[in-house]
Amino acid sequence: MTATSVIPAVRRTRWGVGSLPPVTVTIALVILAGVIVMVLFPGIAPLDPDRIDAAAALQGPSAAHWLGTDELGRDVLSRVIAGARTAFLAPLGLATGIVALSLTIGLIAGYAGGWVDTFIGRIVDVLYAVPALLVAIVVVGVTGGGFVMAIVILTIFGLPSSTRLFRAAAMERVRLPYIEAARTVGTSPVRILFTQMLPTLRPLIVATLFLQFTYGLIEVSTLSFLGLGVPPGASDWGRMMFENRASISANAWATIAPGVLLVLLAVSTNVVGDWLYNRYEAKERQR
Amino acid sequence: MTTAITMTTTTTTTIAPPALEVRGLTVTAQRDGHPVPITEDLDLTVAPGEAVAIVGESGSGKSVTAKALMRLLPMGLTVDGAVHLGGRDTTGFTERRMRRLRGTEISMVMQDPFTMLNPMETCGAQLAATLTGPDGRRLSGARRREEVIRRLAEVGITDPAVADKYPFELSGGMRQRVGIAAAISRNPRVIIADEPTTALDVTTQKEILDLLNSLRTTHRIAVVLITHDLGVAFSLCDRVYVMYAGQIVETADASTLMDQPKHPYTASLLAADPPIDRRVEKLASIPGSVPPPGRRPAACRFAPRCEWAVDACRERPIELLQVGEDHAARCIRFAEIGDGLQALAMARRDQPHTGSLAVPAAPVITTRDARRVYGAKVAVAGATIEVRRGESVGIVGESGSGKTTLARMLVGLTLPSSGSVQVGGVELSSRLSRADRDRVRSTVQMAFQDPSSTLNPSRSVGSTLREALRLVSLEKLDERTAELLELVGLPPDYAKRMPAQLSGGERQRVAIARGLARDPDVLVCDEVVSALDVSVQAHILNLLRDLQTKLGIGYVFITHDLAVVRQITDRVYVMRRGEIVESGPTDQVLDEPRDDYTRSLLASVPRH
Amino acid sequence: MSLAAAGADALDHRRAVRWSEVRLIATVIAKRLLAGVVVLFIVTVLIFLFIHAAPGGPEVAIAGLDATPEQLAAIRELYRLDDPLPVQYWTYISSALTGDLGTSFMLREPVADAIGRALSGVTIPLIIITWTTALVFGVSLGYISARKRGQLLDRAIVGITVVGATAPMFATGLLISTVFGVQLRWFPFFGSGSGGLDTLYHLVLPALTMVIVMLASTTRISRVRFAQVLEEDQYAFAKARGVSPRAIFGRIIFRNSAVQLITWAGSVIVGLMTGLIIVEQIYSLPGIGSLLITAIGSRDIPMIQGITLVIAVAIVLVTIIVDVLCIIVDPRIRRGMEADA
Repeated sequence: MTATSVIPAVRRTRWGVGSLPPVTVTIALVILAGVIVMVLFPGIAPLDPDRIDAAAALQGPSAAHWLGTDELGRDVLSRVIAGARTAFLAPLGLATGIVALSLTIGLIAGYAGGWVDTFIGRIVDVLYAVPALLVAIVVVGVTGGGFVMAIVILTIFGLPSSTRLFRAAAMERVRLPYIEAARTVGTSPVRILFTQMLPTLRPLIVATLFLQFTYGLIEVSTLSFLGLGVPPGASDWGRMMFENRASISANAWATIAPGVLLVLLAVSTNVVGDWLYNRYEAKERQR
Repeated sequence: MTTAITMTTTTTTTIAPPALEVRGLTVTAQRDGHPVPITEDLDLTVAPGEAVAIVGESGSGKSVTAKALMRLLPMGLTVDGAVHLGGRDTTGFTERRMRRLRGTEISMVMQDPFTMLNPMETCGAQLAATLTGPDGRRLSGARRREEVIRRLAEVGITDPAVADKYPFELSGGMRQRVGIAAAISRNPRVIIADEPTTALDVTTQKEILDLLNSLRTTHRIAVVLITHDLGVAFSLCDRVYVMYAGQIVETADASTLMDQPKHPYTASLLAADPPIDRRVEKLASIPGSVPPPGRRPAACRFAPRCEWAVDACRERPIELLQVGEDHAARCIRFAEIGDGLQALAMARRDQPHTGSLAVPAAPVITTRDARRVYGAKVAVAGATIEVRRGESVGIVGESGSGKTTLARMLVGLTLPSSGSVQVGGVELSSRLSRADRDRVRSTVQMAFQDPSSTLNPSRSVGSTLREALRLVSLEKLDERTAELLELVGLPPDYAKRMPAQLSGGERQRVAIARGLARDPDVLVCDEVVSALDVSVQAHILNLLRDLQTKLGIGYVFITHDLAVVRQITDRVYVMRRGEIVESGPTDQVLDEPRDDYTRSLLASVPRH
Repeated sequence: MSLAAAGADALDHRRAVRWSEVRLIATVIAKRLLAGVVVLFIVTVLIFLFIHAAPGGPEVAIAGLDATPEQLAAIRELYRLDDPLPVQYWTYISSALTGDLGTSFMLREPVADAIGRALSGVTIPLIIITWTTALVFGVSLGYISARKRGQLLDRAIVGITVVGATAPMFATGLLISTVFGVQLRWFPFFGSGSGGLDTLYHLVLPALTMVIVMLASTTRISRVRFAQVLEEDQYAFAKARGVSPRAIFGRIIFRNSAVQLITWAGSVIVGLMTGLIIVEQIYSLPGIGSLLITAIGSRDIPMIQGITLVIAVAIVLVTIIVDVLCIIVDPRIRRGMEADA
């Protein structure tokens, strides 16, 4: 017998939502906001991030250079602020691309079923086992390819996990009465996908966006840390760590500052993504 | 069915202490920091070998009570009050001590036999998990196997191969038997059965209820049956506790409760249950809805919905009053209204039989030998049926009968593997012209079973209705939406609400409205009332009947409930394992069944 | 028939069922191996084509951009680069099957030897240590968290593991090597030492770097699954009948999470392969990751091909093992039926 459960909103404090203290989520959002500010207003950097000043190379923190200088005399703080751009925009593009593609493929596979689904499913299963970053490292390394190639590879091999997610969600919903009712009433399949299914998937889409952003950030920064994908001298956080690692004893900040920011950004988006995903799941379970 | 085991609990000469005695059981939840009572001050007594029912609709708190008795409440709920097992007071027992009592003194069987059992282990292994030898240690392989087979035989499973099967390989009834065997394997005094037959077919239900009954004699187990179905309660139990909104509102032995209810809710519940032996003109229903925890009135909880309520009822909390021998009710007016209540309860038995209203006309839907297979499995094996304009046709069957598949074929959600389905003159196939498809859609529509998923949760009521209306015409959508809502008895401002804000019954109304948006000739109703409380069910059935008179619409009513069939259909088809085994006018089929299966269906329905 | 006779019949029936299950599993293994071979074929072809399609051809990669045409011709002659591609591929594969993966350009020794040394000396011990630690502690922590879900301990664990699971390995690696290696001098942070216990000593920090991420994510995954099972009816029913806590954990909680955990364990291994590359770089360990990076930098084609082949084989094997284990554990997959809807 269904109908309203007498057990009240206890479910809210169960293992999903409540377990991440709201404080954590707030902090994460603050950090995120901070990074976005850096992206939108690179002008807040005190000095020109690319200005080379050999005389001032490898100095520790001072009044002129709050985080010191790197081996070419460039101001670390300014470079870190400038680096927010690639750090934020690259994974964002990657995540958007992955979500858009996997959503389309997943929905079509889940809704259409039959041989379409089997065909897509097989491909996804094969690609799923392949670690995207590994392939990117090998391919970009061997071909000397640049940023674009890296993104393409990461996108292709990053599709399977999200595709599975959306496909599963679509398959669950296809059988639901309100979708069948829409079919019975005579709504066209395309319209059903857009106006009936998509709205219910919105929270999942946003959560996945955040989580894919996290993975993308880790992947892109790892690539640049290994010297791949980003041109030398770019004020990219991963690249900075790669280049300044050797001189870590002279000015550790040149390596640590970008590292700390990377970790903060990645953790923040993960926290937010998790929180959103748990909320989505909690709502699903209440059905 | 009352047996000789009944023991009166008020006499002080009982030899053995009650198997279960509960005093002042209160379950509280924490919501937003302050405590919200879910159930309040429950008193219960069960003698050894007795069967007692706790009856309530949703929101009554009955399932929570079951868990509370075992001290197995989910996190966030606390329980107060005394629970005595076999005379022993378990208040203040640590979890460790309680653990020793579970399975040995008190045990539980749950509603869904599938989720209750471990899908990863064979039935035998699960049964053996709690078996110990006389020395308290685990048994050796061969002895264990012997014991397992013996326990299975106790619950009526004679095929020892079942012990090696996994739950998903067994039918629902078998699983429930295995579950019961596991629950009683250590001979507890009391077994709590939380809606044990709700997920089962009516024929299987009877078997399980009979099994539980026999266990009372063979194992001296007392049974506490939690259910929403009065018929089930009366068929098995000697005494009944009726719960409403967290309180016990009446308790008496079964026959007294049936004939002389002393609480308006009990009487209304009895009246709302659709009779199976006759078609009544209007089904009694209870206006309003159950107040959720935290919003319950401080005085009489039922007063807002009670036709006998007076000012005194709303002034202070009502106690459980003794109204007769072994009969208590929570109503201060029981003496004055006693006769009125009795009349209400008897009404359904005394109301005359109303003939069906249908005037046969031209057929709207015809199927000829429609067949649907899924690989090797035959869902529908050649069904030939007819639905005429303005008449209400029932398709009755248990699970696996193929009735849902047939219904889906009638609306075009599933195409037949062979044979033909014709709707409004159009032969259904995968290649239909747009005009034909349109014709089908405006001839037949469907309403579905589950009120919680029949409406898109992220779209408002109005937008769902407009979605259907716009396929007819794009004009005056708002006006027509309001008209539709009115037609199903909902105020027009409901258009702005989201499904989550509606009750189950209201959502079904919207679903019906959606089905009517395209002005079809026939509305296929797939178990639309099966998931609703009895009182709400009556509302919807009355509504459907009114719509039939008002709009001249026809129904195809899919259900497993024969009482509902009697009330709402003119003709009926009985299905079993994909085949139609009997058909004819409803009254004829139900009064003079010709097929054995139909007869067994009728015999399995718990009567009262 | 008597209960005993029925019992004996059932025994035969059980034996028959067991035997058919064994046959099923054997068939599945065979099919998966076949599929694995096909996948490996595709992968090696792709790698092969891809490398030989690099700009200028492999001879430029070997000799450098400013090589003279005669030098290039000589190289082509030496490495038979003018043979048609399928022939080159066939030569490569046939020798690979006998264990000969070619000779490294930069190291001037058989690729197979270099790989073997890198694996046994550094990479495999590192993977084993990290994998076992992460799984054992991760699952335990996940269970504790699930049992106490919603309470303070759980929230703390969830909070910490979020950071651990997300922090990029190179960042944590640098942090750990700097703090524990350079500053505190507790553990070595460079190279792999001189074998045996000394190597293990050198592997502590690298293992710690990888364990952090893997342990954190294992905890999260286990917690989610355990918590799900703890909410299910079967758990409540087992408790209600008085099944012992140990049996409940083994039969209900663990058995019902086994499939997810096994699948996850496989993902951990694959994830470690990527992690290795980073960690070996940071700690200058002569494992297979560093070998790959250097090979990429020096355009050492045979080495690159060899390493990617080894990795591909490893991934295929892991996938097959995970699949087979899941089939063994979950009777539903095994009996070929889908769960009742």
